Amino acid sequence: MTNDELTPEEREALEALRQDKEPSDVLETRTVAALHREGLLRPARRSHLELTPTRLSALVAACIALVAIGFGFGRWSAAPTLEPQVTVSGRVDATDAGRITTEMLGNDNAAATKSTSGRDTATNEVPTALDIQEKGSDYLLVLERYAALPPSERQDEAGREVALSSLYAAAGETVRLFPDNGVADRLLAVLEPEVEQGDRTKDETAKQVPQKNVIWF
Amino acid sequence: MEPRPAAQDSDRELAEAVVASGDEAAFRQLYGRHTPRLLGFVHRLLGWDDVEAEDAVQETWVRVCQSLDRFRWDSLFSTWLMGIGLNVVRDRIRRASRSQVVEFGPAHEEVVPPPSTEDRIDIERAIALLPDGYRIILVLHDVEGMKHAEIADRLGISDGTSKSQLSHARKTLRKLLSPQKGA
Repeated sequence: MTNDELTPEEREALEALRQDKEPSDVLETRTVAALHREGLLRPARRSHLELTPTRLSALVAACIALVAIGFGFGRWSAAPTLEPQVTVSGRVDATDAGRITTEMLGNDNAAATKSTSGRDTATNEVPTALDIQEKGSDYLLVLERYAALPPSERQDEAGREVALSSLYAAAGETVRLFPDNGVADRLLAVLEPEVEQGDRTKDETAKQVPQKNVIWF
Repeated sequence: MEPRPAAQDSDRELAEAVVASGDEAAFRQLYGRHTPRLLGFVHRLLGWDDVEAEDAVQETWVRVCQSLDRFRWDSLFSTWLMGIGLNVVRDRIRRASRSQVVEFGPAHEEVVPPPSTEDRIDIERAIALLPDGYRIILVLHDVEGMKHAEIADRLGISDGTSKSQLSHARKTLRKLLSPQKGA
């Protein structure tokens, strides 16, 4: 070993200096800024963001929150307007309810489109969301009043069939209007067997049961 | 031909994204991957001067991005990066007039031992006190583990000069680390 060569201790001490040094955040920021100034970089694009487990979890949580908020908002926005209509409709006395039920089950199609508010929403008027709401309230009211009748005065089979058919038709129209709405779609799938069963029964007893008209709303 | 490691492929993809579209996100990944080593390297070459070292790193990355489209990928990206870092350090030393030219011949600067002669001074401080030419060769050889031929190639000097400078650097370092009492 010459005098110029390192001793093992010296070599160890010098090699121990070979360490990485963690840069400050400021250095990265200013380096990126300098590269922007030089025209060597453009702003970051989303496509290069790494989808880490943390980011993925946050994304899923955000989606769930968004759906929940949307659902809650939908219910909130529907409830305050629907409730007064039902309340107002609730003032209709039992005689009116009976008349509407008769209209539903009878053959007078024009009469069946007359709402409790007195507005005629037949084909010559452009229907609005309020009309849908009113007709929906009427439907609920009729069911409510019909259910309140003594069993001896009810035509249970016909009532069940027309109620389900109306609900089924409404779900069908909703799916047609909003194809992406999963709730109406599922409701339609649930009601379909019931309505088909009702149709078969109706065919078998066609001569005994008068033809029914359904309120479409 | 040896297959390139995956990290090298990835460096290349990132670099190509920077060249093709100035992709900031790709650059940040490249930066995050190599800057700790680059900063440590220039920090040692500049005698543990934090401010100078960070400035040198920024300048290195700017130079890298300016010439990235000309890099042929026949060596590791990190090797190329350190080479540019070394050039930046030498330029900064020149500009700062720490010495008019980074001399790799016999040092004319007087090495002043630290005032305290009672204790061994920190090895980092001792290296920082070396003349720039000595320090660079000592760091490249004894700390970074480079061979004289590589040092000579990178600095544009002969092998003999590199060896001679290293010898002087080590002697001076020992003098700094073991000052005589009462000196």
